Amino acid sequence: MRCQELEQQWEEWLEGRDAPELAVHLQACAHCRAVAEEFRGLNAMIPLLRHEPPALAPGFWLRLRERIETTGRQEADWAAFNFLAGRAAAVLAALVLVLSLLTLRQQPLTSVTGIEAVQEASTIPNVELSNGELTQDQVLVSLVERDVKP
Amino acid sequence: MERRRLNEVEAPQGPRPAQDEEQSLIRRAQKGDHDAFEALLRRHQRRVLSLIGHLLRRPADSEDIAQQVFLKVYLALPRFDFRSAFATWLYRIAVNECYDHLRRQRAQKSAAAAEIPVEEAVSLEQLGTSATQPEGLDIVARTELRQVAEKLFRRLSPDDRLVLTLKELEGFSIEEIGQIMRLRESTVKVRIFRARKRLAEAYRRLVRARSPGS
Repeated sequence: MRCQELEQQWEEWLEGRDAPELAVHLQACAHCRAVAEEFRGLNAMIPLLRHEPPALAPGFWLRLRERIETTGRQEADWAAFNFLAGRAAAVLAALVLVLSLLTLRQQPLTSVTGIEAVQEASTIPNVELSNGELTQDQVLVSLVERDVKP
Repeated sequence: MERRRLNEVEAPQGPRPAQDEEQSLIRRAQKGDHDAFEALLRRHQRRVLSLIGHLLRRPADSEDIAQQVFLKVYLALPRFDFRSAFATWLYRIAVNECYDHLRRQRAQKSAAAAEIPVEEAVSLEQLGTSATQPEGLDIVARTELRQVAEKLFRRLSPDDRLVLTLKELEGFSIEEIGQIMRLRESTVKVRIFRARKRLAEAYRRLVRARSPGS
């Protein structure tokens, strides 16, 4: 196995747990053997960094309570504002949606295919066709005509 | 090394009553009972402070960060839904706060780190052998080695420092680190391995720089 494929097994190996593939690999790979030696050295050095947690200064809890009271109130106000603003935005969006749907229902679209529109537009008086092709305006006129005079 | 469990709280009772009592404290605190909130945090304060101290390595900052952590806990507590252990949730907030602090600190500092004041640095390979185990060193050599370790550790990226602290200094298991950092165990293992490699590399550079031939 390649060195990189064994990266996950190092923690087990360092803790003295079962890491069979890494153990086999270490016998054959001088590079990983050197890494293993370095890791052992680090493991001897890192515990020197341990220290007892600092004692809390007297008044720590009182200060915390004061901060909670002031910041907490501000945060609560802000959270309430955000909540209300979010609700208002949702209501507004829903209102816009409902109004749009109502408007659409009042002016129902008849199902007109592109071909029908073209055919109909060609029958509209006072509309001149250029080379037998219809302009976009002509198609629109056709649709309007169809609604006004069904 | 000594392993402390994530849910280990500083309470005199057995695990079950302690857990029940904790749940009751959480529920009371969620309803705004400040005394319950304080009692809840006092159970975990030592562990949180240890985590902050080990991660930031600046005792002067520890208390301010602890205040910040506890304040965030208070504000987020109403949303705590008991799906994870309270301790995991609390340490996650503490770790995130420390991580942000480290990143801010790192952005403020120049890349040029202070020179490490050691007369003679032993190689990591030597350190790994019984003859030069830190316990066997005299107090001066031990202090120097500690200073070296301290400065090397401070040079690590916040990510590397975080995983090594949780694993080696705080004694969390891979599973617990995964829960705190919301990572898969395999990812945690790889991250720790790479952090170790970078730490070893930094130490090697230091030794090379101090060797007479360099």
